[in-house]
Amino acid sequence: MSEHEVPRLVKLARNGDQDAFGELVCMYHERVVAVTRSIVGNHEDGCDLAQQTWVKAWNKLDTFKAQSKFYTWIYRIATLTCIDFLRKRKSQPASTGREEDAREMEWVESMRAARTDRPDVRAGLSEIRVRFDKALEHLSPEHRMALVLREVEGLSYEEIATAMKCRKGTVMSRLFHARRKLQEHMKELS
Amino acid sequence: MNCSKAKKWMSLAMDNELDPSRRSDLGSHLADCPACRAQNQAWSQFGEVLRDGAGESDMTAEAMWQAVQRDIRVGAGRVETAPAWVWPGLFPRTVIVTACLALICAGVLWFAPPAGDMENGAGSGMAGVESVETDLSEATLIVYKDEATGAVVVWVSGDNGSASLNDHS
Repeated sequence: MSEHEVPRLVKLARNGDQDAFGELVCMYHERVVAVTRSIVGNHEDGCDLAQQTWVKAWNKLDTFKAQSKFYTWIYRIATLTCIDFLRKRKSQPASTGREEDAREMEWVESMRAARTDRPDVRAGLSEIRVRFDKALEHLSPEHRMALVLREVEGLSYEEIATAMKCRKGTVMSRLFHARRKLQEHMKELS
Repeated sequence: MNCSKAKKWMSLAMDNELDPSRRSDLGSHLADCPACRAQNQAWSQFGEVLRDGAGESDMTAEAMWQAVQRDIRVGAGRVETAPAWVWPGLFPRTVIVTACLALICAGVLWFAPPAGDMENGAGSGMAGVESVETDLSEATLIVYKDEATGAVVVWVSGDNGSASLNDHS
């Protein structure tokens, strides 16, 4: 399924064709999960949020304007869903040490699985990964979002601005501050 | 170029948003400044770590679509079976009306005299009520005496009906 099929599928889905919407879900599934998972920092929540994103998208399909690209619209819903989730999580009591350990172990395991070719690189990156995730939690949802959309999805500043409904200059500033703060927190954690 | 400007340009260069002439200036600065060079390397690594973490999903696209479809069906069913009063347009109005009625009822109960006071004539102008024993079986005799007017009402009620006698003497 190619990108130029998207407008036709969107049109069918807007008329209530669930199969057409299903094709859109399958087409963008990996990308949406990659975004939600990178933003919230764990696989399970990432998948739940991706699912919520698609359900919201189905319910709001009539608000999608064909001028923008479908994937930037989906990313917008995904980022807003993640922002809500992160704010709720922040207002809840901190997770127990055991839960944090389990989450760290999950990341370490995923990194091990991902890098089977070079053990030295693998171990080094696992350690960075753990510190990185902790540092990432210190960023505001907006900074985190901008960084993920740029680094994971490779969106341009304009596309990020559309997805986050802000100006291009704001994206520029958010990315700069996100990187600077991330480095500061990583230094503190080392 | 100072390091502060270089850091801003580094972020832009990393995202391919820096024009070629500035990129060349930045390159010269990085060649001369070990601190900025180290920072540039660290920032480049962030992207790599983020992309590694994102990885591939364990959940297949088909499994995701099935889960989404289930949620959509549940959502649609919820709307169809919802009673009229929970519809978005009606819900706030229903809540407000119910709250007002509850407040009125609470106010009435709060200001109404207790049941015992009613029996004693308080609030009705009756100063005293007495129950009187009679010889009649299955009958009740109640005497009301209004202290303000001096009126006495004798009320007899039984199985065969009731009668009252007013004495204004």
